[in-house]
Amino acid sequence: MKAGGLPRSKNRIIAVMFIALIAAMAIALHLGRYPVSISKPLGTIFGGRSDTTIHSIIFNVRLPRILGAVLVGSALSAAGASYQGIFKNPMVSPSLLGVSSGAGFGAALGIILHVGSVGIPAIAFMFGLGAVALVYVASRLIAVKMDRILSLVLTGIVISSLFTSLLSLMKYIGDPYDDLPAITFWMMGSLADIKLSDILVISGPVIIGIGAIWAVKWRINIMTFSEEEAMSMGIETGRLRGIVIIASTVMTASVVSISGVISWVGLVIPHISRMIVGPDYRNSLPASVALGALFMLVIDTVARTAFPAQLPLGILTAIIGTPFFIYLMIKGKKSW
Amino acid sequence: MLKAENLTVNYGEKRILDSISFSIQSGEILAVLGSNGAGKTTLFKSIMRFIKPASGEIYINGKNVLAYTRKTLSREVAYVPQCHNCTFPYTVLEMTVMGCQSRLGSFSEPTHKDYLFAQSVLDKLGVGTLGPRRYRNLSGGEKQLVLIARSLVQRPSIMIMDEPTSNLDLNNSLRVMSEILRLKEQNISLLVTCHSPRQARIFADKVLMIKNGLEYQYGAASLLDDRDVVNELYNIDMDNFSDWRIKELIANAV
Repeated sequence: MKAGGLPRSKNRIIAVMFIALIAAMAIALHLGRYPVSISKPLGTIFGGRSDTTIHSIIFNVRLPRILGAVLVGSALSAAGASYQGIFKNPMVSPSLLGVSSGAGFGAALGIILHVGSVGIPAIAFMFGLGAVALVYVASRLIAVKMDRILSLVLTGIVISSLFTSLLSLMKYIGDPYDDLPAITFWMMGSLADIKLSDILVISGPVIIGIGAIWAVKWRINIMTFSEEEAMSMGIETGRLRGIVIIASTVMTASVVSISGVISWVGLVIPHISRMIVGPDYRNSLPASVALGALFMLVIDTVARTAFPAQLPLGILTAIIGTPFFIYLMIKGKKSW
Repeated sequence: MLKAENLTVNYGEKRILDSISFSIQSGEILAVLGSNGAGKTTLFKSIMRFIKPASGEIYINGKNVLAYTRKTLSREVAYVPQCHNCTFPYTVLEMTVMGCQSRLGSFSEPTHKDYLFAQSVLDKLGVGTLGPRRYRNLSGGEKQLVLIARSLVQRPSIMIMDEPTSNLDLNNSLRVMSEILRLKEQNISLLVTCHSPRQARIFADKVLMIKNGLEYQYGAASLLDDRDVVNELYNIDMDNFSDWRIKELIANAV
């Protein structure tokens, strides 16, 4: 505490998180199956001469995966953090309103229709947005009779399970030797096939989404109180909720459409961030962005280097993340 | 100044409030009494514009409440909820500074000055040392004082309080009551619900009694001196109670 009882600034610790992220990105460039000497990757990126194999490994494999992991991790965790605030519930994940199950169904549909590697993410993205739009409209119709938040959550659950069933239908009618494994692997999440062009496509929505949430981050604090309290403090709750839902949905749908479903990150990273920097969204949102990116990068680097076969991300996030989270819960501050 | 004229509120088909009229000048305390479900909360909600009345008007400082935006309304009217819990473990200062939302631009965040102001409000309420503590770990009375502080950061001219002392022990309840009286001296108009006619008689200037959504009695606090009025308000049937101890309680309630 400084004099006057003002809260100590958390800027330094957040800066450390972002520096750690950049350092991890640089280290990850050097890690992989193909040995690349220390000086080469950064030299290759920043215009130095290098042989074509190294150039290809850096630009076609490692860099897209690193940037992909950073975008996926930061988007899911920022979306999760902001959802936990506006739905006043720390147990909420970005898939609450059906974006993941919608995208999952879209991807499965794309796979059985054989629309190709560009078409599948496009359909997944559209169904991700569509599922949330459906939830939003349907919940408005029933919101006359009940609380707005409750109606959103309930319709979210119902529409999610609808798309999960439709996904099963796709698996059922898909070719069992070809489509079914493809759908199953897609649902486990992976960045193995990511290309630089994918990064270019998703970076726009992710940056805009995080930017929009960043702009209203302090106000999300007020949204964690009851609807009426927030309104009495001058918040247009419907509008703020709309901004957060649209921003979260656009970025979640875009990252999920290229990475597949990656659970855990959007739920748990915001918790870890709050444990470290406290609940104030002015600190916890930037921390969630940095830690989500860092965590995903570590997981994906482990996934592509540590095992003979590349393990799906959805599996690794939980296997690595759960013990870590339990450790933090035990070690962490009591009052969290 | 707050004024309601023939306020009528429906919930679907059901009429919750019917032709309620009252006014509060600055520095006045209006106590709202009525049994559970009488419509007190609905009255609050329509003043805060959470629900739209079917007919009738509410004026805040001479301007119709419907002409305010959420933000401009929050500069005039602050709502103090009953002490509650919060989803995340905010510190008292973090929570108090949220009141300054009413005066911030759309995307700006509180500055150092806003934190200092929030801290000074906490100091004035005698809870300055709680600043770095977690709100959820406070006692009920401390929470209520922090909620009052947060609403004072809005710098309102009217404050609405929902049973500010109902969950508090005697000491905490007295602390909150004395703060309410100090707010009155600062010329803030207060609209307070309470369940104790006796408490209302002592600290309120005016009382509004609501029964089944209808304005049952409205006027000076001395209206509560008439025991029959109170019995009628809460549907207390003296014949139901034969034990002298209960009769004693009823006698002391007013």
